[in-house]
Amino acid sequence: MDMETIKDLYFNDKGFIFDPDSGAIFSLNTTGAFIIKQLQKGVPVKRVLAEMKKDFDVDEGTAQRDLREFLDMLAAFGLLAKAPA
Amino acid sequence: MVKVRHQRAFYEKPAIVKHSVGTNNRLGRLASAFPHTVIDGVPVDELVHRYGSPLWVVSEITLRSKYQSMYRAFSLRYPRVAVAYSYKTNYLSGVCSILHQEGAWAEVVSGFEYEIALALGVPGDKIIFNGPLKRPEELARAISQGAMVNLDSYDELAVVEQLAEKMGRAVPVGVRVNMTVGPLTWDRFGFNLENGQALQACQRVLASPTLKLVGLHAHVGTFILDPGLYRQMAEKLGGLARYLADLGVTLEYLDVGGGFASHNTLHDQWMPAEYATPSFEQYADAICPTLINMLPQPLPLLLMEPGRALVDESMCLLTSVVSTKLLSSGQKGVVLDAGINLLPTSVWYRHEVRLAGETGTPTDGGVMEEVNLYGPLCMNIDVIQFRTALPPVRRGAVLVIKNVGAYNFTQSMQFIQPRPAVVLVNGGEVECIRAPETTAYLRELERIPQRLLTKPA
Ligand SMILES: Cc1ncc(COP(=O)(O)O)c(C=O)c1O
Repeated sequence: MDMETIKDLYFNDKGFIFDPDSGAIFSLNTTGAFIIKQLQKGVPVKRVLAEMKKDFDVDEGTAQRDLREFLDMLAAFGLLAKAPA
Repeated sequence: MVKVRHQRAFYEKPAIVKHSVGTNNRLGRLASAFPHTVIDGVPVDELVHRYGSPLWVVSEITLRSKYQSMYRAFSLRYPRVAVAYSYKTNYLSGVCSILHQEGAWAEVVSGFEYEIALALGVPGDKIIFNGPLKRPEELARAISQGAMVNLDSYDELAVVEQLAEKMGRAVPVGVRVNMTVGPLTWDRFGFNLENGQALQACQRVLASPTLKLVGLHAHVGTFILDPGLYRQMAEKLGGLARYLADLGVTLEYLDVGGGFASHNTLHDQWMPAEYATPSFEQYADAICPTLINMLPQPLPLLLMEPGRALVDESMCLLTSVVSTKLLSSGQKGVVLDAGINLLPTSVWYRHEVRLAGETGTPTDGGVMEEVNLYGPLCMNIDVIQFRTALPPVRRGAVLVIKNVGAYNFTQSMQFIQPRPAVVLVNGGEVECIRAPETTAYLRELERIPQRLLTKPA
């Protein structure tokens, strides 16, 4: 799960995202916002997982499963950039 | 040297939801954002830990208070009333016993239900026997025990007349009347009022040497949200009673049936239950003064046969998340260990669904997701609800589906899964009132011919 990069989005600290391509608006919870912030900084997914474990009270298995599902949601909403060839 | 440990933040499952016009994505006013962690003093987690999931939970205090408020509303407005609980709604013995302790009579629609009432110690003269199928031997027993029998058809009238001849005594009977009130047009039970059949049936009973007309019965529909329809029904039923009184007939009872709405919300209902469901006072205000104004003294006994309004809110179903998945449509699916096998009323109702645990419920930065709730049956029709707003959930999370006491347990199926236990919660105490079904229990009545058990050579 290391190829995902996030599209260029408008993002604020309260957890709102605006996708200028589609005009869609999204809300994130704290953990979701944390992940998006990491992805926006260009942190690779493997490292995002490590950061989650460092900052939140969560075990490896749960974080991994949740992150996978979350990335799938981002993909479904069209928020991931095409992975560079 | 003291090492300062990095304090890790509270973790909730990451979530992202898309905003669409006209919906509240943020916590907003959605009740489902708030967890339902305790049932009458007992933590939901503890119930699941002790009895497993899924699990039916009955709240004794809710059941008692529902009965009391209904009885109070009608008895304050009419001099002689009785509330006969409609057994079909939920004939768990524990549930019926609580209502009988409160003073409820029994309304049954089969010999089977009649036997449950008898087993629970309800005297025959506190049982109303309704319904299209009453077998001759069941009628004979009901008559000899003094039950109120409401005739559904001329065929049944003839059977009762024969029984009366055999018994060599007069048999009191009621006549079930159907009618049109507003959009309600149930005309298959009993005799129609508008076309004159109901009066004819009454006259037929009056002409019988062995039958005695003692009551009129109507049950015009179910989940009736408009008390005005009860006023119309009372006017029509009262009109017939008045006509009979003028002929010199003194009725012992008028039975206005059930149909009173519970605090649930139909799928196509615009207003949620908390605004739309009338109070018992509103129903009683529609029925009681109408009858009092029309009928001569002494007034007959007024009978009600509530089902859902008494028991729906007294029961919830605990169920656990089996898996979550992203559907090809982009929607989220949540698979539960309880489906339409246990919740057939999902077809009519948008049941209130709450998360049982605090964990994962939106804190300040939380969001609600829209998910489809699916049951465990390997069947496409097994849907509890589409587009339910819930905090992000994962496998193992326990949900509380509220107000499921009516028509779910009695109509639940042993389809693919045996049925789970039912527990009764009362003042912080928990008692099991129905053990979980087992494979052995479900196969008990089956017989396999020996020849089917030998393997082909
Ligand atoms: C004759 C009769 N009485 C009472 C009831 C109870 O109805 P409800 O649950 O709508 O109160 C029914 C339900 O079908 C019924 O058929």
